[in-house]
Amino acid sequence: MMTRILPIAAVVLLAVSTAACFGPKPTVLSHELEPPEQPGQPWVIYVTVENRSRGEGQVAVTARLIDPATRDVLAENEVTAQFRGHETITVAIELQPQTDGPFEEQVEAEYPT
Amino acid sequence: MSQRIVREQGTQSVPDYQSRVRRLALIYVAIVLVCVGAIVLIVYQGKLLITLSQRSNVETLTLAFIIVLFAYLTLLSLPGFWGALRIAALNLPRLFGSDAIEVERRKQSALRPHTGEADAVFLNSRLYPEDAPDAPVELPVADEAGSLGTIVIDGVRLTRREATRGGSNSMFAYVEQRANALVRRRAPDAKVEIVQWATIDDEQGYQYYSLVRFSENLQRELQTPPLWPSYALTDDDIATLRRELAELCPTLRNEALLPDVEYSAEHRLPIIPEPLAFISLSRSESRADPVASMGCALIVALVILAIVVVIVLFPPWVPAR
Repeated sequence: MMTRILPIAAVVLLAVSTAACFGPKPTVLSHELEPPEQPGQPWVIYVTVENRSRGEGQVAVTARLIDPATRDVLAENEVTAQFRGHETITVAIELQPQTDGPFEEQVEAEYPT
Repeated sequence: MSQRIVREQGTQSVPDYQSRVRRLALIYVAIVLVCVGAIVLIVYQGKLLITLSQRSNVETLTLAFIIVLFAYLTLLSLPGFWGALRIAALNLPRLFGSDAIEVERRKQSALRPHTGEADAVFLNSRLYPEDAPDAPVELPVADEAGSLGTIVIDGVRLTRREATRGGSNSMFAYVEQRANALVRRRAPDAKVEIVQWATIDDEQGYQYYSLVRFSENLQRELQTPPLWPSYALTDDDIATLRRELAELCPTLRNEALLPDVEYSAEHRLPIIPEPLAFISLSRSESRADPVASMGCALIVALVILAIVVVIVLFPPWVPAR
């Protein structure tokens, strides 16, 4: 009995001891694009990202504005955010496309950066 | 323990041998699937793994080494994978009610004759027929479907004559273990064991054999009882061995389709790790059964794959940019 329990206990102990070494698991919950208040100012996209892990670390959130007709990327920007375990953060990403739209928004949160 | 796990695994009885060959075929299939799966996973998750290795100061080349290791293991196991598929294909008609002897005949026709010198192993004790101490014991490995050769026990030497290609030294290990069990019924202290494997180290084997021949010549010259430990096999023992070898034929035909990976094995345990390995413990075995050696390779491949999967599913913390 002990010979079976010992290896299982060793694996569990190893798993528990490495649990603190995990990084974040970012998931984009929502995003909202706001037009500039005055001409010449950037568009801002607010992206809400949830860390679905107890791990912490730096996450890169990338936003793109795409022309729906041509699929060309009209603007792209990336910001980084430091996440703690199970934290939800909303980041604001500024974008400066050369046209006034319409746009298709594309956002992603990546770890590691 | 080392004999049953490393040197002669699954050779205690006919059912043991059958499950050993099944295990070996499955190990080859599993190694190829695990290694190909691992290579695909590493390539598919390349961006994540390279980023992690770069950010955590682990050489990215480690990933290349793992791919090379898995590619090497795949190449090494491909003949076994192919052999396992052939075993499955040739035995499949049995599931649909085909005649067992017909199936065995088809398997027999798939085997080619062995060329070159006959395989040999050497025992620690002489075995001889009870009624003719100087005669060899001949054990045909044959059934209704055909012959796989004849095992000849000539004193300490076991050879396989007129054999088919393929198979492994495990057949000798089977004869040794069964002969040992039969002899021990009359002489409980007897220990019949293979001590030299000519297919692994022929120089050592024939050096040992010459020493035994010397003792046999000296015995004849002095007209004394046997100088080398010797045990008689009765007619019943020989009949038992012949019957069991005939029973074993279908399994041996399956095994002959798998590659024969015969190597000695060495396990090293450094007390102080490299490069300052002033003290290390080592243990060597004169033969590693393919189930043991390829089984270890499968365990290593599985462990590495498991680590990669865990890293992909739960990326570790790395310092911020």
